[in-house]
Amino acid sequence: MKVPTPIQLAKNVSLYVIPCNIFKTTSINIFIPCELNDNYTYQALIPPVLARGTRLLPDRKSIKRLMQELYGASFSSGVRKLGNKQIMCFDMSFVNDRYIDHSDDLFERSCDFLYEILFDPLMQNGVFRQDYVLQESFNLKQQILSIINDKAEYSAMRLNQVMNPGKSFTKCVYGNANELDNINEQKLFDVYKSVINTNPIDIFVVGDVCPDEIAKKISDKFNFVDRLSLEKYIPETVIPSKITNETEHMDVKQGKLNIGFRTNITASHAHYHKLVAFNEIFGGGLNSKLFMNVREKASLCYTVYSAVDKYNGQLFVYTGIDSANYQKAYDIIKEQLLAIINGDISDFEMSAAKKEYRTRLKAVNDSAAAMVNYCYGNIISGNTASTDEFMELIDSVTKDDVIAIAKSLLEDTVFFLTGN
Amino acid sequence: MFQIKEFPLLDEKIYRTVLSNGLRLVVIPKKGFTKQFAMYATDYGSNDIKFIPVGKNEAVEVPLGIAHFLEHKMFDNPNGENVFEQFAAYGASPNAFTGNGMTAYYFVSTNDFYENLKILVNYVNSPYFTEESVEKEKGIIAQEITMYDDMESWVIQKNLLKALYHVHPVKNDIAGDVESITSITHDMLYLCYNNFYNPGNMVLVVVGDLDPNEVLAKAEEYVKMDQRKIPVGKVIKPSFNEPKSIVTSKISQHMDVARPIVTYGCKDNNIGFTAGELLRRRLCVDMALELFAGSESEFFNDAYDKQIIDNSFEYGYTAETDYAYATFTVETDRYDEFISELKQYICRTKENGFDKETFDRTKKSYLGDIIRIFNSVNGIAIQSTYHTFAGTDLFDYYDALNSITFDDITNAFAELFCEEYCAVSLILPRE
Repeated sequence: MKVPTPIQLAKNVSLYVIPCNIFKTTSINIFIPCELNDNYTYQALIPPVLARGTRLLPDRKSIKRLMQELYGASFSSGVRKLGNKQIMCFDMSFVNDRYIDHSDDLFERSCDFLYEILFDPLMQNGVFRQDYVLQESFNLKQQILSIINDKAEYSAMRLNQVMNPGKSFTKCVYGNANELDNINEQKLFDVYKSVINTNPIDIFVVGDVCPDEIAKKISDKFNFVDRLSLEKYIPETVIPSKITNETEHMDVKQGKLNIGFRTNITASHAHYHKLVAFNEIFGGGLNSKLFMNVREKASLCYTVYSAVDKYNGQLFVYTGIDSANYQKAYDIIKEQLLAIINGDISDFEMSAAKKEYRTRLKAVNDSAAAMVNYCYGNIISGNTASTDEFMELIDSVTKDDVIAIAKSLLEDTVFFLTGN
Repeated sequence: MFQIKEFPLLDEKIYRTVLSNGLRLVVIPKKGFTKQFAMYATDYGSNDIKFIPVGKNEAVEVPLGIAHFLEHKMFDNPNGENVFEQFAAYGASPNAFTGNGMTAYYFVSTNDFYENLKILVNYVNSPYFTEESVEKEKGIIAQEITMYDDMESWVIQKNLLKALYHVHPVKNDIAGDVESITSITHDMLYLCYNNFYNPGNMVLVVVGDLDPNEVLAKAEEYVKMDQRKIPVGKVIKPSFNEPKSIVTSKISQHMDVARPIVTYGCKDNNIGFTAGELLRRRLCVDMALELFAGSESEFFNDAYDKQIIDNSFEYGYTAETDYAYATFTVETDRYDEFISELKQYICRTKENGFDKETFDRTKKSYLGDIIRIFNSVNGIAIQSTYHTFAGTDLFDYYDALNSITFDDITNAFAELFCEEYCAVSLILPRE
């Protein structure tokens, strides 16, 4: 898997076509990256409002009807966060015409639909329909407030926030709950106009398709004009002066002990592949030191793993433990890092980490969504290595490389969510 | 020799056979895919807490959560080798899960498939439980149970099933509870293992860009290495004599959540379906529920516009041969109104029925859903395993869908909801 060469439909409008004949479906993903700036709540609200209706398909019923007509096509919209960018996503997939006894051109009809969703919304008095805006603001607010329901997600978010106070990339991607109480309809429409006309657009098409034909169909439908680019994100290097400890209490039975480290290595960094190999050995894989020692040997938890934040140069350890075992778990986690620093890495651990990672990379080819995620993650993070190239890099990592990464890790924040 | 079933429309084939030891083998080749997926599973899950062992006359009862506990302990090997390490030598990632009716062990690989298959078959065929290793696992599983106890979506479902079911074990957590797992011993694990992990009770499902004949030859070779001395035969699962009535019509619990979450559940007493009939029944009720509460329905749009529900709303139908229930769940402050709207619309729909045109379109969209299943190696393997135990296969969906009529779903809906068999499960935020 390699990021395909983009077809430029206009300046900063890139089309990535991945021809692939193993799937029964074709998928189209449209991404509109935005800054996590003061408008981020408004930006988060735009995809759900647009999904409520277009001029020609004015309500949910008519959209659903179209999806059924297209043999159960799926459509979803929303926002996600990659690094310091908030990405509006409009995703669609539908079965390949070959599998239905019908001469319908599902691709063209899907394109028409996506065009209408993005550029021909249902309007009332020069702005979006008022009741749609009210309902979707309310829903989005509830979605933000409900993050607290998922204790693992909540504690991961809190660790990132405590570790990076005031940084835009820790903002909740769905917006600010309080701001959603008083959405200014004119401003919402203005933000929409500005984003939809000036922000970059990245389009992915995966399926049994011909890139030139796809480019022509999309170009003819959308008639894109040149757009602006966003500022490239270069996270600042942070050297923590002390370890921050933060504990929060909630009505929970299980404690969540999360630790944040600074790596200051992002995906475009020359040592990124070494960090990835280190993480596999430390806590990323089933044979990692954290899994083997915190879970299997000490029986302290069911969940324990580490993950690399390739956009912001951080690494996190997540665990779910009995709160009484806080110190024990913390000590064993730190012992594992120390073991790597001291060179306690077996040949088996090195090769298992590399092979497991290789399997995961190769498996990207078996899912359209995984391919799109891999490519777009690479594009946003500025690492253009293909899966094959990255596998070779991973294979070249030595024990000394892993030790060097372990030594360079800087513990920054310990976040603990525990019972009352 | 394989029995081959073709589905020309989708260009897919299913290969089936029974090995010399009684194990059912299913191979679904997927040309062009990188991943290989093998699932070795037994027709034994968390619900099987009472059974008559092979060759015995008396039923035994074992602690809740034992099937899941057994799944965890299968990863220990008699020669002390670590299963994860064995797979890691080939870069494969193994995993397992326990459901209400089955336990499955599997791996995903992208190379050395047959080496991995050998490891899978060998470790599942080599039980090794000691007093010490069983004690050690209790801490890990206790944390797994505690994790679920903090998950509101899990708790609300568990509470609902406790309200709907008097005796059927589906009312219990798959993993059991911290007390029940404490009483599990290695002898009990052997008892369950020896009865349910016999080849006649198991299936091996393989999906990937592979030659079925080679899979068959290798599978035969590996099962012949089986050194176990276990009684061969069918263990008998007694029925649970679950009454039609429910236990209570309302159950609620406080948790640290942002706003109330409510589930309206209906115990479906129209049960006893097996194989193709069970598949058809599920499709029928699924479609009826989509017509009633899907995003095109009057109920959904009316309740959404009134801000009683939002996108957190979901519905579903679970059906096995001996139990079935439908649920509607949403996060909302206005849970009382949600319940009354739901009841009103159920009555109204029973009287007025559905729209034929919408039914036809829904059917068309289900065809797309069936086609989509064949995009995923993992999905095909997992679903095929369920199908094999049920006596059906993935292609049966297609015929079942074609056979469903407008009257079928109208009747299914009319019979499904009976207020005396419905209960409300509620999670309320802390004061």
